[in-house]
Amino acid sequence: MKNSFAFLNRSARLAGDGRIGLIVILMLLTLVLVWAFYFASFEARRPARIGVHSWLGYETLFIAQELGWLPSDVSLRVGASAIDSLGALQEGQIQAAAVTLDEAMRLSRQGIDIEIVTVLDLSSGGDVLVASEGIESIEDLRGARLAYEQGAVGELFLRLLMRTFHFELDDLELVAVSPTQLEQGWDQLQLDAAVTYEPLASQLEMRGVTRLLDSSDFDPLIVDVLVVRRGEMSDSQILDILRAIYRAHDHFIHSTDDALHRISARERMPPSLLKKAYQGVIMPDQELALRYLSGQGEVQRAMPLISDLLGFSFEPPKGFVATHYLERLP
Amino acid sequence: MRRSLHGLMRFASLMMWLISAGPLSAQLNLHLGVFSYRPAAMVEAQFLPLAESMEEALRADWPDATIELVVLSGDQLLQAAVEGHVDLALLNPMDYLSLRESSILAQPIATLTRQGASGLFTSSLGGVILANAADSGINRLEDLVGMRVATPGPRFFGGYWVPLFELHERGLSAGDIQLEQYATHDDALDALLAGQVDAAFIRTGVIEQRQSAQVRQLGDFKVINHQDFPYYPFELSSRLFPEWPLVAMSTLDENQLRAVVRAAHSIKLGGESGAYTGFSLASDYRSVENLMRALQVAPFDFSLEVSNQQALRQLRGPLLLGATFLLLFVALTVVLTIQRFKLQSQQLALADSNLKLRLDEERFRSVFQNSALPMASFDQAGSFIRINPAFEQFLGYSESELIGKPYLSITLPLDVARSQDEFKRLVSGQISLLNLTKRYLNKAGQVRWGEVNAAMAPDPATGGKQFIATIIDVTERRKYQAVVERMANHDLLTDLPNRNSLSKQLEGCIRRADQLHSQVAVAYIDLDHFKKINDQWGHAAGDSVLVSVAYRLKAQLRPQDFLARVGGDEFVAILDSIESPEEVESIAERLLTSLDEPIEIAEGAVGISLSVGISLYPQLQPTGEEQLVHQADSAMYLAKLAGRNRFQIYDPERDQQLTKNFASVAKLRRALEQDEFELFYQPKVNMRTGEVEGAEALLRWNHPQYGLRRPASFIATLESDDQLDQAVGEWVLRNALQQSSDWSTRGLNCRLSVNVSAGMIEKKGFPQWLESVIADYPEVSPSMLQLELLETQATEDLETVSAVIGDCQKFGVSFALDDCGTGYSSLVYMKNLPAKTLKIDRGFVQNLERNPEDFAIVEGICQLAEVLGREVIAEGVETLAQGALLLDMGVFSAQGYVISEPLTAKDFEDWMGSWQIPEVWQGRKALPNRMHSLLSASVSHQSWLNAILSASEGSSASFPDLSIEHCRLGRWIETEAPNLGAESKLLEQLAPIHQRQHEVAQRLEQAVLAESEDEINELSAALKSEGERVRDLLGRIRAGL
Repeated sequence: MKNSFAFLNRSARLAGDGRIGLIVILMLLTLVLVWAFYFASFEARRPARIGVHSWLGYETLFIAQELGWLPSDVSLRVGASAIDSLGALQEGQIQAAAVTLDEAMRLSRQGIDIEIVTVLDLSSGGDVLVASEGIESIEDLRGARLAYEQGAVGELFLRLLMRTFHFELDDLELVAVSPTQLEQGWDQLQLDAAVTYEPLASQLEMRGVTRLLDSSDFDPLIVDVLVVRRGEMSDSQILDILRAIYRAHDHFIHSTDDALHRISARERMPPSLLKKAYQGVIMPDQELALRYLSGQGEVQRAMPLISDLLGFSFEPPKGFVATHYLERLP
Repeated sequence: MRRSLHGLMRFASLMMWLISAGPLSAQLNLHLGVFSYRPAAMVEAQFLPLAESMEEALRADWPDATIELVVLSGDQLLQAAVEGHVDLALLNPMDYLSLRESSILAQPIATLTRQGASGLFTSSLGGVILANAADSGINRLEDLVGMRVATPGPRFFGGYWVPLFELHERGLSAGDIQLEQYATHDDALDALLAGQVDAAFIRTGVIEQRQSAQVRQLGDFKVINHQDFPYYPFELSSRLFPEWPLVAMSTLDENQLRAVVRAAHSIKLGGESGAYTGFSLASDYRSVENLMRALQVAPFDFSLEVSNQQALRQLRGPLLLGATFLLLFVALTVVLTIQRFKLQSQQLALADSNLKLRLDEERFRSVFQNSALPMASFDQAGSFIRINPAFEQFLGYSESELIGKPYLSITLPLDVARSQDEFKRLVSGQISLLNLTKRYLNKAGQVRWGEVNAAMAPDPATGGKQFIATIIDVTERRKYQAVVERMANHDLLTDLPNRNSLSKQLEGCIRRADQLHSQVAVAYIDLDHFKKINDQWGHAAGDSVLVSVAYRLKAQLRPQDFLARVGGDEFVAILDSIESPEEVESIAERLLTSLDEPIEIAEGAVGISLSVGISLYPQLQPTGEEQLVHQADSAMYLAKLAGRNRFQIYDPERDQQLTKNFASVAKLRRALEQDEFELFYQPKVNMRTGEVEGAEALLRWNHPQYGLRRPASFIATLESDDQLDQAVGEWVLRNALQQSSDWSTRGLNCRLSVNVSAGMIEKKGFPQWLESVIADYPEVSPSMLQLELLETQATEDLETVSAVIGDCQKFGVSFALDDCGTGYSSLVYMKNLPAKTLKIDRGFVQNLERNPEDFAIVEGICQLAEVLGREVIAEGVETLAQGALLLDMGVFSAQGYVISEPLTAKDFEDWMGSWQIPEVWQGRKALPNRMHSLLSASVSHQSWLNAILSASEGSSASFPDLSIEHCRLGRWIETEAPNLGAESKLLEQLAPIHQRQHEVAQRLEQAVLAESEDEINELSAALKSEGERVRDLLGRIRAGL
């Protein structure tokens, strides 16, 4: 106690000199600076939802969720098809979604402010043209009743087919169906052919429908991306999601059997068939995804081709393809 | 194949034998070490078939090859492998990784596969966490906390580390459960069965194998954290890891290794469930390594060495925090010390004011405790210091539950950010009073609304600052507000959005259409004659109809469309993202047909139709949402004019026409307000007796600019506005009654007739209303009033009109059917309409002497009136001849210019005093019906003559039939006249003149064909003069009858 009083007396004298005031001010200033610096690295995080639907390329998201790797304030909203995610994103019910590049372009054209934060997969064979037995070549398709999923990847692949093989609209009888309809009603819908994707295509093959060709026969056009509504998630949240995706990617590579069994449970399809279905799907790791997004990467190359095929003009708004998130991951 | 060895004893003898045996290269005797994960005898039995078939496969390359199976414990196997005593090792993945640490060239060449009962194979293993099926307390991983769990021990990967890893991923550790080690999986399982433990960890496949050996049924257990992998053959509680690797040691040379690999992959055994059946390609064991790192299992139980820089980067957060706290501590010490010093020096000075403060504080405390308003005090961090009893009541928390807790903990998450911002502003002194309406969560988790007022106050306890908040509970008010808001935006009857919501919605649709370059249509829907339903059935019925209509309309619209009720019987639909005008038309058609079926309400079936007006967006001109609705409304109006029950798409040109009409309505309304209307009176007389029977009150508009205007110029506009029509109708009625009343008081009794529209009399309660209006003029007897109704209107809704006429006639007001004959009404209609008087349309009267058809119609009306017992009056009598002919036909009542034009009231009085019957009408009696043939023949002849003269003048195309045989007059002279008792001398004169007329007429036709101008003139003149003579003679014959 005595010592402390002595200190008190000393400091009282110093205060009288005015030097103690200066020291205190300097200390407080340092304090404020340090705290400001520390707090600047925090951001407000609100709960966010990612729209997804069943597709092999999106499995990293599902696996990340199952194994508890997604940040606790992020959840998945599982829709029946792409259309669910698009609608929910438009209406602001979700903040991010796994969609195809052409869908992302359409959203952007509709004035929805989104950015592409990573490439989930490139399907070079995931989209498949299947046909009933007896149809052996593309030429046999003239006049066929062909099902496709409207407004989604199916349409893009269909247009690509039509353009490549010089089909006119009158050459085909097109039927817009949902993936569930297709699975249940091939005979009921009296279909001759369908544009579909894995693993549905493999399931159809098991029922005697043959595979005519798939997207591996073309330049990769069908690119699945993760889009985020700009400004609705914090950077740290987006980075956490990307970390979770690549952790799941890693799990896929090193615990392949575990990953396949998890997907099997969702798709109700044996792992051996799943392996086959993954043949046409390129799932890039973090490094490769960054390459796809940047400069002359696959995404940049595919955009003009897609807008040409779909018959609309598209000038990507500034920051539409955002590489800076992937660049910041360690 | 030698006998296999197992156990410790055999391990020692193996060592001895191996040392004495020397190199193996010549004969290839391989030693396959297997980890005894279950009782050694059982493992040996399991792997012996595998070793035997591998040996057999190996002999394809190496005829004398042998494989010796050695079953060893984990440590023994590792030692034997490292020291080169076994060439091949089958061990769990974890032991493989340990082996790799000390023997870097140990190489996995294959991974074991097992078969499941379902015929599925797998080369993955996992952990199984079991509890007794009867134990209801353990269902999730979290339930294992504190439980006794049997495991085969840390040498076992699937039965120990894998389940622990699963717990680790849930944030639990081995310390959270009581692990009890047993020697093997089976021992652990038996411990669980014996009830010595609460749960057991084993690896996959064990339980199925025991089951097939009928040791125990699977149903005795339940699997915790069960993984639903439909294609995995075993019960599973964890993620999957690769099965045991077959590891080749560096004792094998390249050729031997190749042969072993080939042999391993060529075998395939059948077997019971859970048995090993062969090998698949070597798996990736990285996931096992990751597990071991996560759980810090040897050899991964060390922490990585890190450089200073790495440490700095990793520990940046904590270091910063630490440094900050250090600085904070130093700074606080300094500040506090100074404060204390100051306090000491000021202590005495403060003593007085402290006393004062204490008094203040006591007063404040009393207010705080007793306030009916919830009150609370906070410190600067926003934590509760105190709350009052009212606050406890407000949210249901007691004071002790809240003290020290932040106010944010009871704030609804949605309002947290807002509250924080405001509180920061208050704390920082930016505002002196915080005023905020926000939501709280009460203890029961319900939302309460509070209006908070908070301000800073000194804290007497600490001498620092505190904040006092008073809260007004506005929950009820907000609830009421929500109801009001819904009412403001919704129609309560149909539950459709109302006009308010419509404009918001439409604004959104237009904005979206602009963005997406799509189209929007607005449909304005109005029910036809809805008022009739209200009038006839009452308002409750009308409401039921509206609800049904709303429902039917909604059913016709697409999901993206929007329907609002904007007025009594008016709805507006927004048709969003339409492809083409055709799509809109098809929707409009559907809306129309949706009301084809009558609507069933309690009172009966109601048939109703609707009119729809549609406007489209975008248009060439910029168009706002209000304008769009207005355009649709205009188009709807046109649909009504065009006959109702149809739709009309808005067309800007028509709109201008319509605008003009609206302007006219406005002018008429002003005319009524400014008393520009006037009544004129046209006398009705009895042409035979000269009696003035009454007058028809006629409306004139004394237009300030254009002078007197007849109704014909404005009646259409008038009828287009129901309300105005009614108002003008009432004005006419009251003015006529007033006039009648005036005359009556002066002894002038004159029956007045007033024109009414069907719309007016069909209004519910019209008879009562009329009676009450007449009662306002006590001098006028109801029988002095006659109402004139157009025949065309009367027959539109026969039933209603008949009822009204009947009701009115009961109290003395009679009806006349105006413009009779123009409505093509069937006799049934006429019969059912109880109108007292039939008024022959002026159109028939005008050509009565010249047109046989008109004559026939008038004659028909007269006969009908006679049969039905109705009175007849002719209007538009303009010549004496018309009057005379009408008298001959028995029509005595008439009005028309030849009697008098419509007069002002004053002139009418003068006229009454001076009027006399014209000479030609005097003493003229009606001819009996049988003698009407004379009149008819005269009219026909006149008509024939006129036709010839107009043909000769070139004003009509062709001559009529000129032969005398086909002449109506000719036939009359020949056959009918003699029977009528016509004077024969006159008939003898008439016949030759008539014949000559026909001859002249034939010559005239020739002359016209020859285009001989002079001859035409001469013959026409002759024909005319002969015509005069015929007329004269016919007149004389009529006079003689």
